[in-house]
Amino acid sequence: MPKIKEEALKFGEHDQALAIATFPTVLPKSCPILVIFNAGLLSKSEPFRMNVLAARACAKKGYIAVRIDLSGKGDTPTREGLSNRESVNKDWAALEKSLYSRFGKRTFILMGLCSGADNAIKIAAQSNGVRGLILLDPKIPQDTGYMYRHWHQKVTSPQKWLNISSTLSNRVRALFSKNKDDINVNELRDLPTEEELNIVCKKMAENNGRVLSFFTSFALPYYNKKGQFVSVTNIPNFEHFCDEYWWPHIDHVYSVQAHREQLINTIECWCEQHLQVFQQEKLNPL
Amino acid sequence: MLEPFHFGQKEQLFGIYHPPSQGDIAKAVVICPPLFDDYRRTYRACAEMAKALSSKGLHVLRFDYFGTGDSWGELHESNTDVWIKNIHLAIDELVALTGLPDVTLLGIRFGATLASHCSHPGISQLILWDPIESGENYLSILSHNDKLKRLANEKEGYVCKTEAKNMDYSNFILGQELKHSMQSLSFNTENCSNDHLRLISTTNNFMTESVAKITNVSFPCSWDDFGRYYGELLMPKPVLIQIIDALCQK
Repeated sequence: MPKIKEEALKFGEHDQALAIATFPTVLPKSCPILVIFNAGLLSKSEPFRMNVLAARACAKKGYIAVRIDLSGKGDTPTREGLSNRESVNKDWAALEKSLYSRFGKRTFILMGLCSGADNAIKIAAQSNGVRGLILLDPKIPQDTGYMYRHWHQKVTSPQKWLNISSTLSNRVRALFSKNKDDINVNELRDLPTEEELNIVCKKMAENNGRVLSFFTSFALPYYNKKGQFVSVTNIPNFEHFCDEYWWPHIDHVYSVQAHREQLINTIECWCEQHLQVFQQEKLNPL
Repeated sequence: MLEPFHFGQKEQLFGIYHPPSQGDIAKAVVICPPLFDDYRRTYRACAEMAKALSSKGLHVLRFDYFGTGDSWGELHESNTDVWIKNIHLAIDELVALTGLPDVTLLGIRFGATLASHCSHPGISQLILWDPIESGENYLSILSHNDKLKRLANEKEGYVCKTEAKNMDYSNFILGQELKHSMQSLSFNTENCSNDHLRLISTTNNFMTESVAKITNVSFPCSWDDFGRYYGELLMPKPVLIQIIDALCQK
């Protein structure tokens, strides 16, 4: 297993944005760069140090893993007067330039949780250098069977029947009270469009890219079956390019250490399995 | 302006130095961060506070203890003695960077508890935000929050009860050495009557009455109230203002 080291990188206007790169001490010529976007308002090491340990695990498999604070998060100052999308695009342009300058031109794999996944998709849709995605709770369309499975699960779950009185009273209470603390996180997200998601999936298929996706209990409002992501893309043989995990027993931010370890082990194995693919030139699809 | 770097033995600790951006009042601060979910909730507030202090002419060093944050190592490889030594290393580093003879320690939550045990000769002042009085109590609260999390997931039907009961549902799994050292650690009252100690409290129920200077700030940090705060980040401006004022006093 290669020894690894870490280096702090400053980039962007006045070198004020911060990232940390983890990579093998002996750097292989064509190893890809895994960029891990911060999640929501959290810093680059979070949630619960997950990004730190994921970056180190992937670096040991031969990747340059870079965890980054986007503008306004963690240690990176806020950019005033720009929309989120504009700001993320500027961050990406600056980071890409900085990484090429430091490590030379390489293939990118983008990883993110929640808004991090949204940013990964949006950037991959417009960038030609991205050949892999690791998406944690990305927002995807419901498929035709979603509502049936949703109601079937409710009707056949003993737990739901046992809790029905408290569920109903909570719903009634919520209906008549405006609690400013009740925020639907999904409404705060600057989501990629369905078109962007389709463009990205098509690109991955056409360029022999790879996608690794995870869906937790947080995704239940739109996802409830393993394979749903592949099916909504309508891309033939997309299951060849996309690995999908459905973990409804795990929460959105992987607050349990055992769950974080499960996630990191899965990512590590996937990275190891596909390293040669990312090192190759793009091949024609099947 | 910020300068990230690695320091300490084998460069295992990660730190960020904020030099003065306007003027230089020849004062240096080492921020001793909190742990676990307190760390996650206060990270941005600490970054903004360091920036504000640097704009007032102070030198600031933020860092992560061994096994936490962006530093090397894992939790089970650490203990509170190591963390207290980490604070001493951070003090040495900031003194070397600035040429100043001494520093102020700003401790937050368990970071404040650790700071209260530091005996480095280069410490001129201690400013502590909501220190944890009893390490044993703190671990009990963390364990209770883990149980609440498990019960919440079980209730939603997302986790099989058997699975939850048979697995370690901890937010962070602490090694035996770390657990034991945290359980044995309490806020060090020997520093309490010291003129150079200032306590900033939002809990209003700090049990150690011998602390000379306490500033009570009305702001609900909800440190231990899992059901209320879960997921929230903290940006307690009234607290940060008090801390910045205390640090800028000559």
